[in-house]
Amino acid sequence: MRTTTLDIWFATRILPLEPGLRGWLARHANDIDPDDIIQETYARLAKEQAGIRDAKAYMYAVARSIVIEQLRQRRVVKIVPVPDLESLSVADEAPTHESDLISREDIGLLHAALAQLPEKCRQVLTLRKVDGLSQKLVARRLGLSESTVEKHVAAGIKRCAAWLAARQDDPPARQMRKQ
Amino acid sequence: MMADRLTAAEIETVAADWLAREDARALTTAEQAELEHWLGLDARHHGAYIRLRAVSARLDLLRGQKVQNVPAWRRWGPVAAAVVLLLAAGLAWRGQPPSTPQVAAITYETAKGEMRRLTLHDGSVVEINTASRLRVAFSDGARQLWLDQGEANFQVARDPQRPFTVHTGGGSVTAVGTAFQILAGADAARVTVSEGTVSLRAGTMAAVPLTRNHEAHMTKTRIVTRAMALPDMERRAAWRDGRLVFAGETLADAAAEVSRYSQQRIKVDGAVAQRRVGGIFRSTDAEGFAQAVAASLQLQVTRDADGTLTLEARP
Repeated sequence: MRTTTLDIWFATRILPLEPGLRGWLARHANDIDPDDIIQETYARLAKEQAGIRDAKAYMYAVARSIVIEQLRQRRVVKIVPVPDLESLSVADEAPTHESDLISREDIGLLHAALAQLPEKCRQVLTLRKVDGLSQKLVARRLGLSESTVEKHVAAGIKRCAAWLAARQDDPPARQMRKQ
Repeated sequence: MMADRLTAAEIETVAADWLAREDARALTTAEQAELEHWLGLDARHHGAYIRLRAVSARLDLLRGQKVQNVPAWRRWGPVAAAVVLLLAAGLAWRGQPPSTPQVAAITYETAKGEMRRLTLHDGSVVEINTASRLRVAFSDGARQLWLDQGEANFQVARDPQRPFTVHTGGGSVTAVGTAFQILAGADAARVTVSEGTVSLRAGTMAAVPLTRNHEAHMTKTRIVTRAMALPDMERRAAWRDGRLVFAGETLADAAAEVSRYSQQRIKVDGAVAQRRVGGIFRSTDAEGFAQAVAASLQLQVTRDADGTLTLEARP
């Protein structure tokens, strides 16, 4: 699998914003499945990526419009309280113009993401990502079948995604980005 | 891997399965078509897939980053007595080699964007970066190398009977069972030591030792040293994984670095040249770099008739 510029753009510019967006969704649209909104938001960002100037402002604007669409659709089928749409303003979320810096904190965070995996899964992901071995070599090294390694990779990426998404945007990382 | 309307969690499971399979091997044409079909069924499918790809790409940052802060250049263990990184900034060799090779030198060259890895007779491993020229001459008593142009990384096999010396326009570096890197111009060199000690020789000065996590700037008349932070050292090695990592460099410096790897020229308008940039880029993707920088600094990219990309402030 070849890593594309788009992957790197999402990895460096969007993923670090996800915990913040989830917090915002929890505050402003708490009866909507945040995972649905996040998935749709990523899909729209992927389509528009080339034209996006301010990733953070754009991401929030997209998420907001998806929330509104979902609420509108939902009102047709069942009556639910609609949050004050004005409160979905992104004014309090300062846009970050500078690129995210890759810092030692990032490396520490990613190591922590691997560390929380179940033992076998962690071994597989460590050999694959830290040592850069192919899945085939990982299988040979650990004495596992290739399909088992593939399953561990799938589960590991998913768990890391969830772990990173739940991770609060800690102050040092935020400061780094605003420098 | 079919779907009616799946929950977000179910979608993510399918997306992860595809990702892991692509990570294991190239998809067959039929699988590729099936994936495309699935991605097109629902925007959330595509979003979940994109997101997990990004997580995977982010985890790739860990490449070579062992726990306990063991830097990438130490992972070679006992095989490597020394690691040398040389960069000659694309300038031709002008200095006098201290000794003429006693045996015919073998020349290795790389084109722009090309990287080569080779194993020398003594077991040392050399990784040659973009647009570089390296000459190697080994004899019974010495291992002599000349980096005429470009950049290279050396994992030197230990052999106390045959010192391993790399000559540059700024001076020479001799391995003493250690790890180090050099940035060399036509008449200057910057040497960074990641492990142990190296011996620097420049002009008529006595040999100067340089120790771990220190850097020296040397010319024929002067050697100045300073301590180095670990992240800076890690960034220097990123090209070996096909990456360029910027963390606050000026746009002018970053663009110059990217240009070393690509025929694609990138010009930076004076007004924005001092803006600072950060991020990770594929070293051979100059266009992607320009687009990403333009997006994050709110610049515009224009393309000249000859294909040169210019980054400048939006009107």
